[in-house]
Amino acid sequence: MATSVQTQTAESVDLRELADQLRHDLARYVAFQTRCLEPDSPESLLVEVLSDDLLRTRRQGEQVVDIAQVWAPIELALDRAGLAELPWASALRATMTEVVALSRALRAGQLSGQALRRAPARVLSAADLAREAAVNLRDLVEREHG
Amino acid sequence: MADLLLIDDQDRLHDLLARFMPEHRLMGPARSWDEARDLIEGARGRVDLVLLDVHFDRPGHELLGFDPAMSQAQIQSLQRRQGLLILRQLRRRFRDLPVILTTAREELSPGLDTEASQADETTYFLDHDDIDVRSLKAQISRILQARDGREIEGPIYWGRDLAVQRLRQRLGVLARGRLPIMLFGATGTGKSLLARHFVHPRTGRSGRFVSVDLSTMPADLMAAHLFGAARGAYTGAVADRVGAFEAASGGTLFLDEIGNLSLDAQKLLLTVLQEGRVTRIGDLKERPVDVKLVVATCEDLAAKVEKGTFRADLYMRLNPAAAVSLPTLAERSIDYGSLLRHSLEHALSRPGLADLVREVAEQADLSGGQVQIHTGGGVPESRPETLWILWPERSMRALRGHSWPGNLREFSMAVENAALVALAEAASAVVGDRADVVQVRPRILQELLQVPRSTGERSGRVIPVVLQPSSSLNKVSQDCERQYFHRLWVEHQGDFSAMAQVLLGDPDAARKVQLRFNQLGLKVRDLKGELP
Repeated sequence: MATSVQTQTAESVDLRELADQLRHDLARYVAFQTRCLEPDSPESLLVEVLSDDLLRTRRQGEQVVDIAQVWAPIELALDRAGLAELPWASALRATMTEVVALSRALRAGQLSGQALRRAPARVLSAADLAREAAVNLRDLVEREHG
Repeated sequence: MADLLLIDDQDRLHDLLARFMPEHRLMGPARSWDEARDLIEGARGRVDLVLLDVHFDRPGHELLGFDPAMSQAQIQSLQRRQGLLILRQLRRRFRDLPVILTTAREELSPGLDTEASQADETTYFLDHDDIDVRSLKAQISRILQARDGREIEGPIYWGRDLAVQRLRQRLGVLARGRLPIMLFGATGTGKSLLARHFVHPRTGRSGRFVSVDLSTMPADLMAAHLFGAARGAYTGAVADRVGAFEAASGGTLFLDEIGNLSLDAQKLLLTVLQEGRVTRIGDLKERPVDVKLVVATCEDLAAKVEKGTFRADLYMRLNPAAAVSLPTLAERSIDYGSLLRHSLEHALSRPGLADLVREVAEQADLSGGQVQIHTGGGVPESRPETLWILWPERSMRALRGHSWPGNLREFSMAVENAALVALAEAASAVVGDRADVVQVRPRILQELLQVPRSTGERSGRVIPVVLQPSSSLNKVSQDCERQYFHRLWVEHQGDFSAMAQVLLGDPDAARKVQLRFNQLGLKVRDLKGELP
């Protein structure tokens, strides 16, 4: 299984670049402010911080990229590389699907109460899974290139 | 308040600092070296510190090192290391300006790491790639204090040894963050002491410090002890029990020998770390907990993960990238003087020794006076109402000559025992010609530090030597001897008495050791450069 994965990815996707995207674009920024929250932060702060992390995940002045836009090319690359069915990629995809849904609810002003309180844990979990995925990809690259 | 310049292709760090660190003035973010240089020069010395990103998603023509002939892959590579190229320029133009690279050194790819490792002492990395605002605040504050010459001296983890200074600095930063701290260190290196007296006071938390030693706890009791239990959860649980996590909420929880944690308890611990809530065994109610977790081990946890005896996901949650390794005592010989003084002061304040001190003081007509410690050469002059505890130079050498496999714990016990013997001897009869001086003689140390040898097993120092084939066995043997003499000389900072203590058990045989040293063709003047 591992051998066939390596062959497919070598042909189509730059795994090193994908690992960098996972680590730098996703793992780091999806929970960039969320990880600084105190456990009993007020809801208004939760909304502000989650909005920054999920709706303005990357920002250069007026250019704004939300979490769905950060995740889409990564998800596509994982598919193209034939990695999407691996357990760590599946776990990441499942959690990111939830996080993207959270971001939509947030944009629509429909994230509140218990769902809002639970959102930071999901976002942090997504960051952890993305970092783990980056590590797994780096391992793949190292095995492939010695 | 400080003036911080951000050099970053993104605005996210600026937004984060503006929200969570409003006490500082922010400049930038500058998107390129040119913008950064203009801002620094325009500020006319007002920039206190730079926060510099490494990865810059900017068009090729804005990047340092850009060449129009570059391929897309080359431009991407340039983007990935742009921060390091900017750092190089900063160092050329603004040599003393402190710079924090907003990434962890471990996250740099190997080539970039080499480049970054050439950075100088005013360049810092984050302890973890995920920015934790409390850690960052503490790091900024420490850097600015260090720049202003106000470096804080830790009261417990004393010493001038460079490794210990770095350890204090790193732990001071990590203490303020929300992530767990993992301490690695051999037995007796002071992991528990550090967690209680150094880390906990620096967390800024008002809650309790709770310590749990997992090496002495039966596996089936761990979960209830850590997470609590509801009445009736198990035989003997006659009342609700608060676990260590709840007890430490708002404070610090120290888990010693984390490698001993049972697999069941590992799973529960992972859940608590993920959710920030604890559920007592046999209970359904979740209770929020907020602890600063410090874990310690003398084992190779990564190896345990490989073997499957420690959960990989829990290991990753424990923040291994920022793990702190404690030096052994033998690696800190420069600090023996201050460690001795601290251990001795501590020992003399304990009830048993304090009683003996009073007894000796009464015999010398010094009751009600004070106790002073004198270490090293000479004998202190008499002072009114003062009892001297004298630790002479030769007794210091005996300390330096010992290998201390039990580290700080063994050291403090040896110091206490030596003081006890010296005081007991002084209480039974006046030793020496001064009643106001209690001398801890080298003989006492030599007797105390003799390692009992088990039958059939060799004990003693292990000193690696490299075997080189030669024309005769005698030459091979001499070459080995030369190597360990050389190593010992460096290790003991050129002190032949300490070497004599190690080799012959007698610090007075220094001359004999020096002769052999010379016979082996070793010359002090050639080796001086190797001393720290």
